[in-house]
Amino acid sequence: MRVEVLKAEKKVGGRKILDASDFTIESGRIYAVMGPNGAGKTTLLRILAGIEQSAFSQILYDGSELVPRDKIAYMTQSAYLFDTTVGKNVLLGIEDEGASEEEMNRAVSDSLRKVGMEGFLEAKAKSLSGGEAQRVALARILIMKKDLVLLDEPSSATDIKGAELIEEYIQEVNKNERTTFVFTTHNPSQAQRIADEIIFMNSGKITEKGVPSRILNKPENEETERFLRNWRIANV
Amino acid sequence: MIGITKGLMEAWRLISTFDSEIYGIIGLSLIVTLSSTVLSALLAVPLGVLIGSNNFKGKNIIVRTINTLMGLPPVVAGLIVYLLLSRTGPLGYFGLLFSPGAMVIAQVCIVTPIIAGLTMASIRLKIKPVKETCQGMGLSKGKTTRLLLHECRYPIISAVMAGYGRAISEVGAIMLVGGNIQFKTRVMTTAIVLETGKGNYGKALALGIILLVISFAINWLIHSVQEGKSYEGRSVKG
Ligand SMILES: Nc1ncnc2c1ncn2[C@@H]1O[C@H](COP(=O)(O)OP(=O)(O)O)[C@@H](O)[C@H]1O
Ligand SMILES: [Mg+2]
Repeated sequence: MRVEVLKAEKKVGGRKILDASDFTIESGRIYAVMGPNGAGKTTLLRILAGIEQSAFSQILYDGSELVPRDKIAYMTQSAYLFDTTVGKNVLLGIEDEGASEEEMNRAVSDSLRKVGMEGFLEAKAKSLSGGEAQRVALARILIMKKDLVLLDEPSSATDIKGAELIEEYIQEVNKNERTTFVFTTHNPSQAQRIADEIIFMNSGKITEKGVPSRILNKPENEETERFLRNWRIANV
Repeated sequence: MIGITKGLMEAWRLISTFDSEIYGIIGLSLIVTLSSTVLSALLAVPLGVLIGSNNFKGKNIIVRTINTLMGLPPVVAGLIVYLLLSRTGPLGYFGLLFSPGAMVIAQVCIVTPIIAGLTMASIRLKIKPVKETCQGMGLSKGKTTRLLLHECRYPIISAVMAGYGRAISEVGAIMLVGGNIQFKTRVMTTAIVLETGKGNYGKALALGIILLVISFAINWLIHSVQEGKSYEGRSVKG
């Protein structure tokens, strides 16, 4: 899905927490949104998803002003699983689509295997660790095969292996289904690994946008540079 | 001391010989309190869910009113219902005063805010993550509500039981609007008041013991519902 953001704006109590304009999410590509805490990443994703109301925004989804809610999936920053089994959680998004039980069960198993949670089909969702829950939440989102998938820090709670599985799954769905992805991350190397483009934000504004190799090696914006420098210092 | 011992023995005799008046009183107590709790739950659970899961103008005032009414003194509720149902009152036409129906109405006034308030509080804890998750998945409103109720099922059951606990132990309202008439509107709590006043400690104690057993059972149920939840949360499989 091609998303043309003419204006994405959100005010809270007179303060603009998001003030972005004139950028396009091209169909079938993967975008990483980066920036410090409070930059407005979550707000941007929620506005793109049509969850956050914002009178001043003007966004075109494949040319239309109507938000095609049935074609967009959004995964919250902290994964919430319902108080039932892992399998039933993943099934939730596809159970009303009229597929046979066998097909659905296969899809659920496939999806769980891709996030490395195949042994947890019958486990209680509330008993999972944060990283496990996050991977199940991703399986639950990707199984629905929406055109535009928005993921808010999808691997913030996972270990390295979990993050790797998530990245592979995103890339696979992107390749096979031509799904458009926008995800937020604090990890530049994750952005470099899977994103076609990085959108860098600060104080509600988009400060830079471009291919990862360029942004990460030659940031034009001072804030971007500082962010990356700090990250390198913390990760030597 | 002798009074208590004698009273206990008399209590045991009444319970074990299935004294018909005592069991009639117990029966009416259960009918009245169960009816008022069921009616209250039918009103209060949807109300609590509706208020807890929506934002609208004046919500704060409604929430505060319900929270205040949760502590409504039963006698005051009884007084209001009494005035409404009395022959000269606006609902006097129905001739309900001093009937079990009047007792149910008064208790509904007491129990509804309790169940609604507790339901509302539990919904408010869950609404944000549940709503966001459902919206993010593009689920329908109906499905979102079903999932929300599922997530809050234990606290809602506890809320209804807490409401029942209030109904069974309440005396002020049913005394006023029921009139404590023998074989007609006398229930456990009002009978205890009466028999104690008359010095019939045996009867009072027999009813008191049964009331305690019922209260204990309710509390035990509430706790096992709550513990069942945390236990379920911990059982790991796979
Ligand atoms: N509903 C809200 N009310 C008030 N402030 C908010 C609200 N939502 C977000 N904010 C503020 O807006 C800023 C951007 O938030 P967010 O989009 O969550 O940032 P990020 O995801 O980049 O960390 C933060 O300063 C946050 O405190
Ligand atoms: Mg965020």
